[in-house]
Amino acid sequence: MSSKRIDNFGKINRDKIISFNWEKKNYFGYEGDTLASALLANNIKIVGRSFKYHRPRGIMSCGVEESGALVTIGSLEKRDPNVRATSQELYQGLEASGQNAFPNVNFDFGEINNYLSRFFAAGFYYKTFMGVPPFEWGSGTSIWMFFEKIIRKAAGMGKLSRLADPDSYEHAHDFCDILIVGSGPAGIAAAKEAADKKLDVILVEQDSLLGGDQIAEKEFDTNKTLQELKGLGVRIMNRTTAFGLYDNCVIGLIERVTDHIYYDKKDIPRQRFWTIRAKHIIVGSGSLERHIAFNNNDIPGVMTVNAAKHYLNRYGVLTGKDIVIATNNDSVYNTADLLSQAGAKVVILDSRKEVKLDNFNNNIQVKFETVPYSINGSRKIKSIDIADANHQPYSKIDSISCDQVLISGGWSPAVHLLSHRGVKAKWNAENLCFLPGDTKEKITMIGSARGIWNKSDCIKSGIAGALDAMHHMGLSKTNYFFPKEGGWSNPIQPLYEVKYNKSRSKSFVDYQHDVTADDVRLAHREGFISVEHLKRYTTLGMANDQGKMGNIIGLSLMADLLDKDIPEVGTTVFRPPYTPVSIGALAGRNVGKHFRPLRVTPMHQWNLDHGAIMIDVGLYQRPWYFPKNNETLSESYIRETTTVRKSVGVCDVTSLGKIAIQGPDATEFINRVYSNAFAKLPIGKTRYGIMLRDDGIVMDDGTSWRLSENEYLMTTSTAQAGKVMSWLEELLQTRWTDLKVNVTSVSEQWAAAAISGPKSREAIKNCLENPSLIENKNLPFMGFVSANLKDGTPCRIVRISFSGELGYEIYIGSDYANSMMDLIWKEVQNYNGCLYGLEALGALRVEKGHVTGAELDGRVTIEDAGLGKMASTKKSYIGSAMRTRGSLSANKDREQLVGFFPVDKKETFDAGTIVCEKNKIKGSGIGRITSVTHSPELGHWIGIGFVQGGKEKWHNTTLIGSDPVRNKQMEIEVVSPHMIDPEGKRMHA
Amino acid sequence: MHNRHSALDSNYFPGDYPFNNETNISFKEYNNINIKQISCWPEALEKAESFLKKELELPYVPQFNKGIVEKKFSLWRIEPLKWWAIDKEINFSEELGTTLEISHSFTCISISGENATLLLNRHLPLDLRSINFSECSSASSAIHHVSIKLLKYSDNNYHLFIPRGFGLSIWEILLETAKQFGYKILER
Repeated sequence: MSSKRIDNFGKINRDKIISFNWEKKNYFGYEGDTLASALLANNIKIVGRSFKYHRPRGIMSCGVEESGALVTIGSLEKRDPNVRATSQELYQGLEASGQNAFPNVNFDFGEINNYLSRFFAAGFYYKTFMGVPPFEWGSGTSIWMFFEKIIRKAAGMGKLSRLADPDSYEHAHDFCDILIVGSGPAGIAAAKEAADKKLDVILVEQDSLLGGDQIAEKEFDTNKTLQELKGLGVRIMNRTTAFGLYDNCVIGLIERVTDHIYYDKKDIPRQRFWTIRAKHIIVGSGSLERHIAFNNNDIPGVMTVNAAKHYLNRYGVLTGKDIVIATNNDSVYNTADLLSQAGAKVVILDSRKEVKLDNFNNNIQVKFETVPYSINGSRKIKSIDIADANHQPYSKIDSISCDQVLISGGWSPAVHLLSHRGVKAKWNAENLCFLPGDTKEKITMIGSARGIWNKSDCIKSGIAGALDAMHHMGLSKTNYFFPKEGGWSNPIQPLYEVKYNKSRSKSFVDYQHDVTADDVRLAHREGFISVEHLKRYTTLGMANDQGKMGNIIGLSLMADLLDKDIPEVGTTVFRPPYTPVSIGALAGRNVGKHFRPLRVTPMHQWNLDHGAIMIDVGLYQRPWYFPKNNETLSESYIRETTTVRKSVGVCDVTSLGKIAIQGPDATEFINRVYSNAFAKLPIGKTRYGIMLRDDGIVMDDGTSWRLSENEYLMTTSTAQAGKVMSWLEELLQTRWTDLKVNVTSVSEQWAAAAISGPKSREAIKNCLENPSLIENKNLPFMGFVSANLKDGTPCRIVRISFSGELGYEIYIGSDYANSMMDLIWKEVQNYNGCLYGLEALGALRVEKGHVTGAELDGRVTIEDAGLGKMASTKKSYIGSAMRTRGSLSANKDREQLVGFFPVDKKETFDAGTIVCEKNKIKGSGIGRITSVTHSPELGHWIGIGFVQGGKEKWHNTTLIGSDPVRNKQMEIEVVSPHMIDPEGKRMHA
Repeated sequence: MHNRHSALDSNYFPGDYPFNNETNISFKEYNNINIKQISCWPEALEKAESFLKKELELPYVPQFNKGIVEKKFSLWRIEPLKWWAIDKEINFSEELGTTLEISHSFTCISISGENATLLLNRHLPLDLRSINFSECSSASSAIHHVSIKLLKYSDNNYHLFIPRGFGLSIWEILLETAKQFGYKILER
């Protein structure tokens, strides 16, 4: 092939020269070029190496169906492999290189695979599971393990940079009345018709320019069309590919926002992932020209016929000098004429006996009843052997010297989007292609995607498509009809493969995966005859290609082998995406710090300003510890825990769930939800409550405060806040619809701080307008009071203790949280108090044997947790029936909450340690340690967890704590979980 | 009483942030907003509507997902039996329903300007075209998995309510998205 830019053809802007870099050499192109057209203009023949055999590959098409020119764009972190050179617009400074080759595409050591191809036939990697005959050594997994590394290393096209993607991506949503995919003659006609009726129309075009196949028509003016459509109010989305069609006219699109320019900032996303919901979708996605399988049909210089027309009329590139066109249909004759006018010598091989065409240039030599047999050449085409179409088996009858072979084996409507909806394509024997099947969904196929070949009929189908959409929407009663499929003057003749009459042919069906006609025959011999098996065994139609190029040829070969017709063999289902979608576009802005939304408490910044080290707790970030003077985590939390026990500490507990429960039936509701009695909770009092699931297992624990006769504030654990809120709403909406109760999450409304320690009362008093409100007599344990801070800011104070010390929690409107913390912190410091974080909070509660999510893990009953006394026997509540079933209540050997000490007090242990009997250290043992801490008060490590039969069974027995993850074992003893102040004197002080 | 502190305090910097010398979106936080949530019992709906009409001197009571904007306050029916009274003190009797103070629960950001709708649709799967989402419409949806409420005051003029704890995170992601349009942050 010797391709070159020529004058008087093309629509590129020759006033704007663009320099680019291919394989580390600089070249020039023009504004309006694609990388492919620029490479062709520079007579670059080899642009890649094939997947398995590393055969040289050139540019084979001019669109998204490209299988040969898959290249890598950019370098370093901007490196982007497997980009189709035919879709990549040229821009100043573009860097591109070929791939799947070492050291480069022109000289590739991997080409040795071409000579070893007999070992790489279809399914060769499946056979590596089976051992190597004749010895069959290492059969099964071990042989696969041996080969796997080699196969995986060799597999794949292109290489990722393995650096973080520097570009930004985003998602977007839109809505419209009618969305039209494709701006060919049919799509434009549909858009005009619909917009004319004042409908909100979006026209989607994957190319940078509107027009579809018309862009390759000299007289077509894309800018004029654009302005006309815009004037009608049509919303144009160019450089946007509709990659998937989903339920209810939801369509997924990828907009390439900056892929056509060099852009190294993040202000504009590189790509935009659109989800558009339309009332009706019209698909004018066009059709794809097919190849013909014959020997060496992949040598650089082989291309589809229509591609050559586009390169000539759009880009001003004549792709060959001596061109042979092989065909079985009428569509090539116009292109042959154009190529001839541009100066090429053209010979047409038409498999048909004769054709009758108007206005065809009689100077072009047409060889009827002739088919391509084999291309001669390896890195470029030297000549083509031809065969008699009527003489099978085929054999060479002549040879034609040429530098390019253009092929047209017929056209396949791009029915992919409709196929995404599960609509099966129907075989059309007249036009030798699959046509879109019928659908009841609001989707209309138009143009050549409907199998209509000539332009005037495509336009008519576009208008009919718009009327069909309006008819479905109830907006039009105008009669309409779709032109009949087809439209050529002479019928197409079946021609899928010209079988090579010698062994070891390279007759490609699917170029991208190096699937040959012989591979299809091998699949048939080995029993993989269903189309789905054929696809998976040979990889026919996988990856980028998605059946665009080779599907029909593969099916026809299989049909021939099975002695069936193509429709009997069937076709595979096309699935999204139609063209590849980058992972970055799928992620959108949900990357880096926005990988998930961060939830912070109102005191977040205050905590940071006061030295907090934060820890992720679900979506929240909470203070973990407040180190002083470079303290470690352990040093810090032990100091904080000690300070709380001796004096006073303040902790941000805002993350607790908070739910307002209001209404005349609020008491009845809450009494049904909790296992313990709430019916008689006085106003101004709070109570600890346990709620069970329907199956009797503990769901969550928390407190509820009675604010007034008909209003409560419920608190939940941080982890279960959302679940409990949903649960309460479900109960009210589905089970107890008669109850007059409103529940509202007020977790964000209230900030909360726990002030704990023997000095807590004194510290808080100084913060209040009326200090007497929290005197012991006015606010006893589990009491609640509304108060004002010194400056008059209202707050709620509840006397409650998670630490086991005298303790209060102050709740305040979130916007006042920082001011409250300033006030409290000032007073707490007067008592040498401290700020404490989640680690100290955990240590304090483990010392007291209080359970949290680590213990209430969805397996624990209320008895298991040692809270059986809170299960009322006098009322019915959620879980009350199921908790008494035999497997829960009668099993005395269930795991029960206990405390653990190491026998050797210098030993440490970790959460997750399995508790076992001595000499029976195996499996899941007899229990587990769920939470551990160093207890400053006891001076050694402690833990809580569960053991079968509870404390009574194992008291005075040494057990083994087995930690297989850390390869650790230690002797442990079972103690009461309530290790500090078991009588609760401190919190009642 | 102390001044109220906003969730955005650490990252609210008024000024112009143009793109190609243009600012097509304006952000403004309403950081002292007062919200009363009033919910009525199903059987008391008619009475509740009469009460609201009379008490607030309204020409009509908005339908579900609609609002009414008065000079000094607005009323939004954010659920079939639930309204938000913004900057207006109002209480339901127990016979009618319940009243709840939720002023601190949300971060309220006004988003206005030529590209406000485009910006919102970068995140919200809502049909915000005027024909579907007219003035004084409201909707509940989610931005980046966080539930939000959107009130439309006029064309390209919205108030976005984000749960306070997520306010900062969503604010940051909105600003990142708005860079491509050019934006300004107005004084609160």
